[in-house]
Amino acid sequence: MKRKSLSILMGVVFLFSVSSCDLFDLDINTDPNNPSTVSPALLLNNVEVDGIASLVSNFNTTGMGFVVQTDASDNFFFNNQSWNGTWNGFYTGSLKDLDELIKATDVDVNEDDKSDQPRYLGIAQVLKAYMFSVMVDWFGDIPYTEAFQGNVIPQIKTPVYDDDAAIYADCLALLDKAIINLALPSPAITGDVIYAGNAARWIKAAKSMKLKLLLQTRLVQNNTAAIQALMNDQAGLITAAGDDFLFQFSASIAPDYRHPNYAMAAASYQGGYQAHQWMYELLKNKDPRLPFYVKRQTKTVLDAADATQRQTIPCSQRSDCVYNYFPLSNFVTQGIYGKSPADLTTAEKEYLAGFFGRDRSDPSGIPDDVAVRAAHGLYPFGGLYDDAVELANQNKGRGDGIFPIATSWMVKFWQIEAMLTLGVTHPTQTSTQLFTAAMNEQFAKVNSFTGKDVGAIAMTPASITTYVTNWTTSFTSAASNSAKLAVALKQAWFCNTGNGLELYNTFRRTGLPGDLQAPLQLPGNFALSLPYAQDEINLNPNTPAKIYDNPSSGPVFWDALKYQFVK
Amino acid sequence: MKKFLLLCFSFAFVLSVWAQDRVVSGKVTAAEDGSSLPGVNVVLKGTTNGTVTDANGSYKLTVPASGGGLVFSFIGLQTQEVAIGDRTVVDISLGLDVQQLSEVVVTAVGIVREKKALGYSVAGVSADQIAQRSEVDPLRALQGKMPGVNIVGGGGAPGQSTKINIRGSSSLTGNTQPLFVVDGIPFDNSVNASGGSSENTVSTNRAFDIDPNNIESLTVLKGAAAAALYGSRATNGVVVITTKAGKKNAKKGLEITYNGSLNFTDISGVPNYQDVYTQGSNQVYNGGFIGNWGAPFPNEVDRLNAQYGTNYTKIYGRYTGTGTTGTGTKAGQPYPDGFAPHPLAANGFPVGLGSRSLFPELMDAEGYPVPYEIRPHDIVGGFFKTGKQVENSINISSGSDKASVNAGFSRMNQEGIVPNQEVTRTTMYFGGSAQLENGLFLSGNVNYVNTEQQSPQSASSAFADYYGGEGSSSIYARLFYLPRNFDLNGLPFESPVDGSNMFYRALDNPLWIAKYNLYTSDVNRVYGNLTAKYDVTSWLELMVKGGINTYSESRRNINRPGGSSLPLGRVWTEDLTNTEIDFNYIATVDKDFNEDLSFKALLGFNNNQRELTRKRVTGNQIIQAGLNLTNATSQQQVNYDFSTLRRLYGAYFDMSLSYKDYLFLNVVGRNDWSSTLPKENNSYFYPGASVSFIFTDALSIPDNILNSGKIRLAATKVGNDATPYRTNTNYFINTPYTTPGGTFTNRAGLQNTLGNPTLKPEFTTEYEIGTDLKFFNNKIGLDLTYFTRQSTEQIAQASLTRSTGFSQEWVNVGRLDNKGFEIGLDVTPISTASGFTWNMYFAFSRIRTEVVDAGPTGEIFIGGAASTFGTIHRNGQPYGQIFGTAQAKDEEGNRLIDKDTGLPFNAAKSSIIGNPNPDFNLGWTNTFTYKGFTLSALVDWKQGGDFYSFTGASLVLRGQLAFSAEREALRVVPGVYGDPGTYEALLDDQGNKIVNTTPITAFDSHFSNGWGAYGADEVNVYDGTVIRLREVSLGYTIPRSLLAKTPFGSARVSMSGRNLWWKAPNVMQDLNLDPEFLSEAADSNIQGFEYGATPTTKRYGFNLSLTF
Repeated sequence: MKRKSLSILMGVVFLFSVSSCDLFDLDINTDPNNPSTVSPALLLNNVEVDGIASLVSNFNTTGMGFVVQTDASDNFFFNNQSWNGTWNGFYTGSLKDLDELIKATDVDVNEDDKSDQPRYLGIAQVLKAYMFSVMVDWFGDIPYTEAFQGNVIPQIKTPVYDDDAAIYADCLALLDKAIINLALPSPAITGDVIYAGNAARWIKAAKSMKLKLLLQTRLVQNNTAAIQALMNDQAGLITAAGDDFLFQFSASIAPDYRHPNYAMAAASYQGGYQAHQWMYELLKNKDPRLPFYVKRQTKTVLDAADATQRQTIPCSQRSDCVYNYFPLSNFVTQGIYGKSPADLTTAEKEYLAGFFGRDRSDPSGIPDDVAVRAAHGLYPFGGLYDDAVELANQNKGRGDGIFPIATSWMVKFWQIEAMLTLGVTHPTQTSTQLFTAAMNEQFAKVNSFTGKDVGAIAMTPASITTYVTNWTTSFTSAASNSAKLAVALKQAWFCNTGNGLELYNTFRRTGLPGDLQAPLQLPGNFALSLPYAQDEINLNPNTPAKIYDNPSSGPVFWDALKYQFVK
Repeated sequence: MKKFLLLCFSFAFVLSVWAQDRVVSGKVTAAEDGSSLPGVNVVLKGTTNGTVTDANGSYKLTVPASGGGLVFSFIGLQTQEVAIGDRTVVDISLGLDVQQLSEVVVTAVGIVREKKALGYSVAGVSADQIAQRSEVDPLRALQGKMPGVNIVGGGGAPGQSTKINIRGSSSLTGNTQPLFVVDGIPFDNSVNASGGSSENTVSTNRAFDIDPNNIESLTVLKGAAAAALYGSRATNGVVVITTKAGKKNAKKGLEITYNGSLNFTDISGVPNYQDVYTQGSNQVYNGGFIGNWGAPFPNEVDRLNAQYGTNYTKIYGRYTGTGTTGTGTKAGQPYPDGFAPHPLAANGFPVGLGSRSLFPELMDAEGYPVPYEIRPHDIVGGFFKTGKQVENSINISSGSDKASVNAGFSRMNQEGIVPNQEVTRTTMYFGGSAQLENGLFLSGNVNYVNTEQQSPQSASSAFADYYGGEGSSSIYARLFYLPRNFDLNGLPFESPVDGSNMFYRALDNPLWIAKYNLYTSDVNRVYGNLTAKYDVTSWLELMVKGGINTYSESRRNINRPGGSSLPLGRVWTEDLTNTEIDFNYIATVDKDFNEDLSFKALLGFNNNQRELTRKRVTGNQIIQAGLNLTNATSQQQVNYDFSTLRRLYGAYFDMSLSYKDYLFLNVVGRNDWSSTLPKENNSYFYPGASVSFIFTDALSIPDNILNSGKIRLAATKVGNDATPYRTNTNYFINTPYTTPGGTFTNRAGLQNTLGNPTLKPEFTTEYEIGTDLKFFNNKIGLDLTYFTRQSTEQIAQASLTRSTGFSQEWVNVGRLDNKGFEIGLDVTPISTASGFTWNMYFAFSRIRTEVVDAGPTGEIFIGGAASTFGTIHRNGQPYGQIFGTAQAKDEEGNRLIDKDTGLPFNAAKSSIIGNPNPDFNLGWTNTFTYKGFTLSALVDWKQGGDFYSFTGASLVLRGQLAFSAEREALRVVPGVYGDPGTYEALLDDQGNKIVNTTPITAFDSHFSNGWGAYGADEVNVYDGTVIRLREVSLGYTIPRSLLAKTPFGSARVSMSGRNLWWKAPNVMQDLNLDPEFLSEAADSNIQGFEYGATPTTKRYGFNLSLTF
């Protein structure tokens, strides 16, 4: 009896054990949900999509605010927390993946002294030169040579900060390497959403990027010869729209791959303000691009006599605005219509009411005005064309805007600046011809957006010609090269909207446009760079001390101007 | 239990028979249900003369001719002394003794031990202390009842999670929740939160699947010593639950027990609002604002003008434009005094403008918005309703000499205080045991639970209003601080045409959210086990026990189209399954070497596997409102689809030696092999030892004052493994990019958290010393414990300099120390012969935690409200401090004021601004029993525990609280002028600091850089000290005699209430905020943040218990 029971018990034990024999297998800690290796194509795509999107959502918006196109960060008031997320996102996100991509493709198994994946490597090198030069432009000294060593042996936990000038120099060297690598024979590239693997275009991008970096540093080093060499090789530069180095966002809402500036405003329109000066000058110049740039949401003229409505009126709490509320602002109505507000027709008043924005750095509280603020239009964010007054919310626009990095017109503006300041020459064209061409190319790009909104009406060739001719005349009639540059870069301010990085760099390099409105308040002075990130300061003792708006420690190495507001 | 009954019998038999004069007889019944009690010891006081009651509860005892008294005692019941007088019949009923119940405790792997043999502290509660107490959450029902155990409910939403910490927190970044073991098998208590507080605050911790009505007994093994045998997961303590299904014994015959209750739930505190000023800013009414800084209400205008010489009018708006008819005869005229344009028609919002055509009655003949009366409304009071909670449970129990069966069914439905918020729990179980003819003992049970939860979107307001999470469509987004003059509960909230959202502003209306935007969770859980035992010899028993505990949960979250935050609608579904398999093979040796020395040993092997799978799919743009299916949306996305698998096996032993029944030595040890650690580090051993010494027995101390005394000592180490897949750094597949052409390009990146291929197990070492003392005939019982616990080599995520490319890495770092006192004091001040007793039980705990080493950087930022505002562990500081911005101060501590604004400004660096850990917790239970009546009241007191209140910050910012009604006069912030650039005080010509004299308005004071949500974080940190009437219950057991003609064997009715009163003296005036909340779900390490979500509730109701 006893033995039987015991054997029953043993039998149960045995049964449990057999049915659970793999319960003893402990070799199961390989993550089944994530791959241990991935192809360069996957990394490349991630770098392009995430990297550009984060450049746009962080720096682009801010840069546009810095040069009075929007109100983003226009009080220049930052602390170490302000850019913590941005910094962390870049270093642990797209910049790291870019570094992984280079590590993965800069290998030479067959020992022919060339990368086995030369084109992936070349593209990665162009992107690295671009993104790190941007990081330098915004932060100055940053971890570079010792960055991304968290997962190698020996691990570097506190990377040194490299000199910003040295990083720029290395970026130029990277571009030279990229030009060589991209020319090597290679299997087809996938995952490249910028140029679809077209190496010839990447080479043009690399050379144009060189031009950009050399121009950016022209005040602190002698780049004349190098720039002349690049300009002599016009075929190597981006000269036509087909070669434009830009990121094309898509209309996909979920996942949201729309232009970040559109996406954040798309559902309920909570986007920021557009600057009054920006809209006023578009109006005053009778800029044909205006309905592409600005979307009016209202034609109701707010009543200053009504206490509630008065609160909503821009500048109603202040006396120091220049532009004020357009339908009631003598400065604006005189400038645009040549009459005082009282003399405006109802239609004119209602039209102006739609250009509802803010004077520069207006510190007033935010009233309940999201439904009346002028919204960003069809170009470059992919919003709505200003064919009729309507609310710009509820995802009515497609959001498939662009982020121009180095377009044919931008490359032309760079050459114009080089010609006017360094005395270099274009092999075939004058600076005036380049200026006219740049404008026409940018107008064409804007016109190409017509198909993105059913209501959009392309600018007529006549209207373009009138506008371009006016500006060309201003350019040619300018007395000096510096006056010509002021005209050109004022126009570049209109053309390069949508690339706040370029606008902010241009301003720090040249002080142009020189007629930007003085800020209504100055909690911080003009940002010469951004403050370092709180986490980095806490965790990395190598982080330099810096006061971002102080000319002694704030400026980036190429900044000879060190622009400051007069307090 | 049977064993102990036998033990009692045997004691009785050894008693010698004594000189006799007369015979007393009587019957002993249970006070609880009137049933007869067999086996009760009946002893003549002061002698060894005694007997035990028979199967019917009757006894006979020969006693001296006169005087004398009888002492009735039984394990688990209160000992009673009765004077015999000249009676020959002495009947008595015995009440339950809460403290004595724990004389026998279930310890590791189902081992039943006498409490006196234990060298460590345990705490237990019995079925009746947690059932029928107006509380459906088994964990919350324990609040305040056990020293050393801190339980915090997350809020008042039905099923909302509850956090339990035993002896503090032993992990910096990992799990701090104890292991739950139900009927011998681990019971997963995860929350599996979806999105955290920015998305959802109502997620449930899965211990909620246990119905308090089905709990037979619950024991908390607090220390590592008690828990070592459960292995790695016992680091945070163990909660051992025996269910009614798993109970081994049953009364002979058939017993059917019914428990039912009906309870009502109300919000526990509503802020005191100001009703002096309207919506708007700068003392001007604005019908589009959220804040209440507008003009005075009409009935306040005259008073304020008289008092302050202001010139407020009763005009709140003018007719503007020409109306929709274009005639415009009223243009420019004011609305009638005390009236404003109707907010649903006047405001320039799509919804507002849209409502002009939907509600023609909102427009007058000329097409102007109709007048809307400006008067205050009770927004919050009108929004929350009284919830209802219904519980029914039936237990059927039957037993014979050889077998017993327990089966039951229960169902609970709890409605919340918010519309469409409820949880329903349905349980069925069947368990039984049998002693087979061949000597094999078999037992097993199976339980099925279905828990369904529903709630409107309940993201916390912090993430809606300040940090921009998913919360923009949450009922709490702005509910607590809507404009006082907005008649939320009286105005339409949806379009009569298509049901889309209606509100005065481009936000989702809380009523609309409550009606349409619902989150649901449906859990099906099955758990059971099978045990076979066999006595090989009289001293050797073999046992095998296997069980499985599995649940699947489907969640669905709906955002109806037509809202403001997600105009096209969205639905997501999540499916998760969690399965745990656990086996134990145990050999037990029980040998008495001689009369004085006995030996028990247990040798076991444990095998455990846990598997979790989760998948979430989001469908965007609902095609047909009401059809909330992911395949009925325009775009679908799989958010994640993953599984984790982990295994662990361990071999363990537990040896006890007892000498003369007063000295007990226990040694345990276990070696684990875990799948989650690198192969070379995956085996780890940890030992423990404890001693219990009953010094009163050993030293034969007379028991006239000290009845019994015990000293316990324990030292134990527990090892713990990692969570799965921490040893490698992998890539992750990113959501493919959709090109403008609509094609997809695939992407991947490298993870941000570095895995660690050399990870080692972490260890917690604990020393505990304690004593159990009983005085004055057991009228005072003291259970005192001091413990110190050191957790080292913590497996934690340490922050990395981001320029390394990684944000965190898995490391073995640091040291975390917990130490504390636990006191359980049981006092019975009054116990009369007539049956009146008053018992008090104090449960006190004081725990100090110090982060000794938080790794190479000296700190670990856990997170919280924002990337720089949250919970931090920092060397030398207590666990989990609040880290945020503080106002700039000079070296003397003077607040620095910006001369231009008159306002303070923030210091350059964030700092620790609060300690959320309580100084101590005290629970004080008073129980009064008289005849069939029992009245009990539990008051608990939490001292300290700072928290940041988003509700408070928002209400200040929006000018809502009663104290902010004083706003006409200017004010000056105390402080000295400082330079916001250098953070140094400004000096005058003499080099002295300059006292601030710049006046500011009330609005400025509470808005930017002031004392509201936009000010420094520190200004909204409060001390969370709270005293609370946690639980009250008044019950009456109907005497048996009255039930004689009914089918009922016993009947008990009771009234109970929970959280009926509380006082938080140091929280901001007028806020009336209950400081009991969880920042995130129960399994998060973030603490000290009140994010503004479901408030706590109070409950009261009636309960009925019947046996047949």
